[in-house]
Amino acid sequence: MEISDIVKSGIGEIWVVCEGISRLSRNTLGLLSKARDLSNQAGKKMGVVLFAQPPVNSIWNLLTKYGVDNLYLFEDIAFSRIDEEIQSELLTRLVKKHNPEVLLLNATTQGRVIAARTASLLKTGLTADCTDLSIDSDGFLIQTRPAFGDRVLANIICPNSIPQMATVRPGSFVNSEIPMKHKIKLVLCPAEFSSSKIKILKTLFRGENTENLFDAEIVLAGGMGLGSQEAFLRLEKLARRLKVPVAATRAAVNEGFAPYDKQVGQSGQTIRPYLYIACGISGAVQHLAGIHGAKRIVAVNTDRHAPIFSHADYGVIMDCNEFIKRLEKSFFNE
Amino acid sequence: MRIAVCMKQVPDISVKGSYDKKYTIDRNKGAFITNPADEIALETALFIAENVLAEISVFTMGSTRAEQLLKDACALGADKFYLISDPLFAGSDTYATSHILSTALRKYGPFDCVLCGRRTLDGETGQVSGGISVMLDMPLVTNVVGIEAIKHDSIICSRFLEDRDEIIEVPLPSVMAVMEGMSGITHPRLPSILGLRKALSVPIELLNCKSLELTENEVGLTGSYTKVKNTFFPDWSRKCVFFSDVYDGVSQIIELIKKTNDI
Repeated sequence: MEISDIVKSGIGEIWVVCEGISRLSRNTLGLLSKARDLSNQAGKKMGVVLFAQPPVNSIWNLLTKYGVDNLYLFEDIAFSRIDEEIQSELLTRLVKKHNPEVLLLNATTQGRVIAARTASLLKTGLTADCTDLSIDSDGFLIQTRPAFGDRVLANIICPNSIPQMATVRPGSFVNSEIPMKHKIKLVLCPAEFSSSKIKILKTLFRGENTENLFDAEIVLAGGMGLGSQEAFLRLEKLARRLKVPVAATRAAVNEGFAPYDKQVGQSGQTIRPYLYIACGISGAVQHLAGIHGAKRIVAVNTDRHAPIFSHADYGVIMDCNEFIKRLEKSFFNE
Repeated sequence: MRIAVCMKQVPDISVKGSYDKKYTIDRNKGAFITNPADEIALETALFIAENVLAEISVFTMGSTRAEQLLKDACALGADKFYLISDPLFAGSDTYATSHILSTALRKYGPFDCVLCGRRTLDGETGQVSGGISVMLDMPLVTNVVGIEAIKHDSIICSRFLEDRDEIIEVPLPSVMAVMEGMSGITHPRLPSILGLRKALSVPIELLNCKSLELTENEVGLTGSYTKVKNTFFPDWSRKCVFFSDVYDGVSQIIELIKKTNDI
């Protein structure tokens, strides 16, 4: 059977690989919500692959709220941490047995590795870091991602092989549960694997959780206009006092003004705060891709013609460092 | 130890004006730069070679213009240079690219350690190291930010993940994808005078579809699983209200912050 016939027939399932050890990550919940919409739209079943250590009751309960039809469960105490090589081998075996049509993963560091290895093992296409997904009239998965260097987005398809694989940029989809619990069919999968080749000698958890950017009502963000690391630290201090998170553009991260985990935009994260305040940000398409879901965007920039102003609700033409000073003064009387 | 470094020349997207200070644009080269993460991968190889006896082979896939990248790598102290270039390779997706690169790595290997940047500035997929690791049947570790120790059959390195840092021991041979913009591995070194002189007459091995014994079906668009269906302009534009008076603007924004914080 041709691939085009398979995708039209609706026999294959749409799969999501869950991420999370004892609870599902927020990214996974957004991805599950999107996959359910795609499954409904295409009239296909939705499958979920979960690597977990027992017990999985709480995750199971949560999954019933996302319209999951089949749960493919690998249960083992070894899954208290993610080993990309083991997961990609088990996933490859499972895919070969069940032939899902679509396979979606989170574009986190480890999700990307699992996806890249699995796609190569399966000899199929993989699109990195998608910001949107849809199904076209022929039943193919349309994978949308910003294209390089241009102000354009590209729609990518994988027309000659299944599964059609994509990793999805964290925060791309809104988490939405269904009103009624959905019955899940459990498929227990044999967790047979050889021990990990890579040895973890030490793990240092960083105190701050980057996920708080997702939940924030207000985000204060800085770009190249800040001009220095000191200026970013000042912005960060202000943000801390206002109890809001701080974010940075890739350019600012590359210049060393801000650490990587604060980066928003392509290969960073997507956020949807109520209020986004862009300080000294020019508005590269990669950055806009990460913030366009914000309810209100305020831009502060010296350049009247910076692209950020065509994507903002309110604009002030001034030096962002001066702006930060004014905020400090107004809130803390300094 | 035999080390391979996979590097790529990328267009300098560095948004007009902002990066000029750092990545100097040579207009004669048509504003192409070495992918920043790949520079760190080479730096990592040079660091390893300072500590153990090592030979560094650099592979780059691209147009013949990418010769410059190999010359730069020579000036910094790499030993062997391979330019993988063929018009037939144009349009290769990450699978086809991984296939071509791993074919070259097999032909001139075996290597104990294959170093890559963790992603390129242009494609930003970060998928090629994954492809290579599968095709060469090696373990892979991404987001490497530092080398802690080099043993005869393993490397101990530090890895940066979203919520944690890990110190891990990677057996050799392995593929390692190195992360840019971190403090663990220092910025790329500068070339020596001797290196620059050596780079003038560096022998570069040219590899194409035929010499790698690949068929046309395995490379380029036909060898790729993903296709670009179309491109389009997203409409994220908004109508911006400018505050003509800066004082007024700032106080309005402050009101907006206060109001939002109350919700």
